[in-house]
Parts: sequence; structure tokens; C-alpha cells
Amino acid sequence: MSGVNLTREQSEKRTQSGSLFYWTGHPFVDAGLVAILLIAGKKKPEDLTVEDVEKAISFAAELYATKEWSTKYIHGMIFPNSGILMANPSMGKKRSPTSIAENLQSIFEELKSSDNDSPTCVLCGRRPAYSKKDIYLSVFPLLGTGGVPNFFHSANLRGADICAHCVFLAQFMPLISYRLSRVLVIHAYPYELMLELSKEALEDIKKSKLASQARGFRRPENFLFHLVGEVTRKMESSEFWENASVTLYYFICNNQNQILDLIHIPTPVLRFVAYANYIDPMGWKRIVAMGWRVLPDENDFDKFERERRNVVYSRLLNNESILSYFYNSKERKVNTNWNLLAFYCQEVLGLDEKILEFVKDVGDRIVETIGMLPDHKLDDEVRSLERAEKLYQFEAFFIRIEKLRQNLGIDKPLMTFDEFARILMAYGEDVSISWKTVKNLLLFRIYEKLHDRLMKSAELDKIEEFGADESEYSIYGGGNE
Amino acid sequence: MIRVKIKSWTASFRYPTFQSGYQPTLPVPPLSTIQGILSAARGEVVSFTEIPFVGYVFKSGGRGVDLERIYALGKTETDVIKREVLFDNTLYLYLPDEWENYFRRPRYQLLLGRSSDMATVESVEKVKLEEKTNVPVGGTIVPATSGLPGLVHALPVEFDYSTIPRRARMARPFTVLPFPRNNAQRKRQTYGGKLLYDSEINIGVWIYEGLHGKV
Repeated sequence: MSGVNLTREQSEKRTQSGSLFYWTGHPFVDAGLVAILLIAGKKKPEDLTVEDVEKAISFAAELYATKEWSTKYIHGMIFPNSGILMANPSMGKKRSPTSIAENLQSIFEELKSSDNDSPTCVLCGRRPAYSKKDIYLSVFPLLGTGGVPNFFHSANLRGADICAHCVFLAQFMPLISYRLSRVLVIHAYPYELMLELSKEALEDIKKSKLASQARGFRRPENFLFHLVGEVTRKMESSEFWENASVTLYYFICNNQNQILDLIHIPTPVLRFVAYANYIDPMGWKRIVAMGWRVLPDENDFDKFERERRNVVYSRLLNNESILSYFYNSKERKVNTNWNLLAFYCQEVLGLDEKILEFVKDVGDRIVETIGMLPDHKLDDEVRSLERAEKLYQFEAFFIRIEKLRQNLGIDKPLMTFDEFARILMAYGEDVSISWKTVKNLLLFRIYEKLHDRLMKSAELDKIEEFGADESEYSIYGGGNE
Repeated sequence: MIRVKIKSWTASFRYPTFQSGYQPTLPVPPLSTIQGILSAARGEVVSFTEIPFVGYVFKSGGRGVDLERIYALGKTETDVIKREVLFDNTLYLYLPDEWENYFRRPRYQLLLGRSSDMATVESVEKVKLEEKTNVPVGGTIVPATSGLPGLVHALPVEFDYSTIPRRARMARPFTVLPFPRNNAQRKRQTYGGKLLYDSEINIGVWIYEGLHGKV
């Protein structure tokens, strides 16, 4: 029988060289470890020495003792009333780098403890729970408070069972978190990726002594997708994201509020965004630009990206299709090339490559047919597909194209009966979803091939209609429903 | 091997440390929840050390956020928190044959999460799963070292209930893999090694054998 024996894995892990720290899978603990590694300029926990830890302690203590960090950031957003980091406002007079460093050092010393009577850490499962302090949200963000013991199992008055290793590392998490309107921790696996995505936070601190503002981004997903693009272009490869796991923890934890948005980026989406940035960054920019209510001009794009929620990003994160953003129906032009569209369809929507080729082929047959029409007729036919809001309207479009082929004397029929059924079901058996996907793919192909002619007829329309608006088209048989 | 099909209207599987203000749910149950279900069915605390193998697949129809009133122990004032809840859930458990009787007549109420997330056994069947390579995995958790992409998080494996409060016996980094909803997700969650394959629900089953011994 196939399976996994965790006992064997566990014992193998334990026989590894006795490194000070290890990855746990918890975002806040791993973030602290990333901070210490980045400060030490190292990549692996097993390479860390006691000197590296001391260096990280003094680096953190120096910052945490300042008012900007202590009151506004640590106490106000991450560790409310923290005694370890002396962020409790009542500790203002005693607070100093030395006293904070002593507190951190004393927890670090506890790593050597082997109190077998203590419960095991619920996060790493390797060490006894830290017993010198009750573990509430002032020690570990987003835990319950001591005032509500029923947050903890059996109303444990000591709080959560978390060991000195995990408590210690969590105290360094602010060093690689980004400060937007809340706190952003990017948890990524493999961990090399987490080091890459977090290093900017530490670099910003080294420059300004303040928490990184994530370049003024106000939305965590916008910042992440921006970083994905940058890293991909720097690496000159999108393979960096193969099998990558990225989750954003966007939270605030103070005495008044404990809020958390947990945003997992689906791996197919990560790979698509990376690929888009790699093969057609300008096209990707055009697709993203359509995700705002107002299309930004060249100069405003960066501002919009920093400040505004983007529908393309939201839809990607919610596993919703963004096919209709691949083209601009107003201007009847495509935002990118068929290759990127095909990659999106296969990687994110899960469309089969053969099906995609078939739809593309049908698109080309449609282009072949309507391409023979005079401009105003061509415009009518494309418009009828654009306006197909019901399945019967979509079906009627194909019938009309077939009739056109006959009238124009084109040899082969547009489709066989089987192909017609196939085109309606191309994106799964739910025809109500499938046909709209196919419609978007066909429109993309038509715009890609006939953009110049369509634009020309659109110009003519503008002159003829004296600014007729969308709703007026129905009078001329457009049939808005 | 038997396959137990369990259904529930609601489910919620809390992250180990996200408790205050908002309690998100994991998309699939951790192993410690499976330990709880097995214990409820048998009527006594079960350790994975006693079970030669266990596997599971979880599917849910959707998720939403509920507002919940919290009564603090020993206090009169109440508070409101937001809790994420999964709806229309199905859990398939793959277990040795001797577990059939426990699930035909569970000793205690089965729950998918907390006491309000009541579940019922819909069927218990003997199944023979074929071993295959390159099959998609989902609706379960796998060790983070498996190389499969998903949400990575530290999760408890099993609790020791011989003390109050209970104590974690083991915790590990796992990759959480929701049940794949389209071909792209199936492709991304395809495991290269050998796995048992349930052709009825079209998914590979990650089996844990001899979950842990002397921890």
C-alpha cells in the first residue's frame, strides 16, 4: 500500500545536525526565521550561529525601543501590550534596547530547556511549551486574550502551548512584514521564495529605520502581483514559480481589533501572472488596466496599482474567469497575443489544448467568412456575437455564418453537427458557463485578426450615428436584453 | 479497506493560532479532526498508533462568514466574532475493515469541527482501490515535503487527551490541498509517486500509515 510514514520522517528530521532553528509551517514563526536569516545574510536555518542570533537581537531591540516602532507599530498593530518587546505604553520609561534585548535573550536561553513535563508545542511539535509566560495575543498575534479563557482548549489559563523557539522567532516577524493599512506577512514555500519576497522589507528598514511601507501600496494583492512580475523579470524565467505556494496574511492585532484576511494565491494563478510578465509585460499591463473602472493613462497606471482594488486580481484570487479582460470590446482590439491567452486557458481554466486549438480553428473559419463582407456588414456580424447574451442568440450567430458561407460560395461548411455540439460544451458540461467562455475566445480571435477593419467601420459608425449611445443600438436590431 | 461517507451541513476547522476577532477555517480538516471523529465513533480516545492506515478526502460546496456571539467564561459581557464556515460538506474516510461496525453505530455524535457542525454517516462500503502513479490529490493534507503546491501551514497531528487541557502529541508543516474543481487544479495537484486511486470520486487518496510511534 502506498502511504507516508511520518514516524520515519520525524526521526530523520531529529537526527539532522542540531540546528538552532527550523521551519515550522507557521507564517509568523517562519517570518521571524526569515528575518534572522536575512540579517545574517544566510539562506538555511542550519547555517545560523549563536552570533547571528545575537546580531539579530541587537538589530531588533534597537528598532523596537523607538517610539515609531514600539507604540505605533508593535503595540498598535501586532503585539498589543507586549511585555517581551516592552511595547506596553506603561513601560515607556523603562523601555530601552538593552532591556528588550535581555528579554529576547532570556527566551532564546529557554531553547535549551528540556522540560518533559510541559506539553508539546502545538506549532512545531518538537519542544516543550514555553512556561515563563502565559501565551496570549500580546506574545503571539491573533491568539485569544487572557480575559476570554474559552478561546483556548479546556479554557487553559496559560493560553496556547507554544514553545520558546516559536515564541522567540515570532518576535522578529515585524522585521520582514510590510506595513500597509494593516500588517502584511508573505508566507511562501519553498522557503527560498519567502526570503526573496520578504527581503525588501528588511532593506527598507536598513535605509530608513522604519517599517517598510511596501512602496506605498495600499492593497496586499496588488503589491504581491507587482512583486511576482518584478522577480520574474529579474530572474528572466517564470519557472521560479513552478509548484510555489504563496499565502498572504494581512492582519491587525491590537486591543480594539483583531482582523485577518488570509489570501491564498492559487498556484496556477501565480504561474500565469509570472508567465504573463515574462512573455508580454505590456500586454499584461493592458489586461490589468481593464480591471479598474476608469482606464488609467500611461502615467496613472502606477498610482492606480498602488491605491485601487483591481477586478482582474480579485477574479483571479476567487477562481473566476478573466477571459473578457483579454480584449477591449470598446476599441475592438486585443490586449495581448493568442499565446498568452492559450496559456491562461490551459493553466488557470484547465481547458484542454486540443479543445483550444479547435476553438481557434473555428474562430479562423469565422474570420475567413466575415472577412469577405463589406465593412458595414462585417460590423453587423461581429456586433451580433458581441451582443449574444443568451444561448439561443449565440447559436443563431453560427447559423447565420453558415448561411453566409453558402451565399459567398465557400467550399466547406463552418462546422459539422458534432463540432457544433463540441463548441457549445468546450468548457465543460455546464453549457451555461461553457458557451460564454467560447464566445470570449472567438471574439478575441476575431479582434486579433480583423482589428484594423473593425476600427475603420467603427469610425464610420461614429460619423453616421452622431454619437448614438449603446441603448439606441437595440432600435436598429442589436437586441439588448 | 472500507470507505465511510460522512455528510454535514456546516463545518469549520480552526487554524491553530487564529482565534481572536476572526476565525478562518481551513479548507479541509487536519488530522487531529480525523482523530476526533474516529474517537467519537468508537466511543473512546483513539490514537493513530493503533490504526494501520488512514486516509481521507473532503469536499465542500462553498464557504461563508457567520457572526457569532462569544460568552466569556466567568463574565457577564459578551462579544461578537466572525467565523468562517464551510457548507454542504462530504468527508470520505478510508480505514481498515474493523472500523465498519463503529461507523454503522457511532457511539457519540460525529462532528466536522465544533459541536454545532453535526454530521451523519451516509454509507459504509468495502472498497478496493487501485494503485496508480500521476494522479491528482485533493480534499486532504499532505506533508509539506511532498512537493505539491497548496497552502502550507503548521498543523497538529494528534492530541493526548489523558490530561486536561489536552496536549499536542505531534505537529508538522502540511500542505493543505482543497478538492480540485477544474482540470487546471487537477493538473497542478498531480502527485508523481504511487497513490491509491478512488475512481468513483476521481481522486488519489493520500494514505498515512503508522502515523507515529514514539514521539
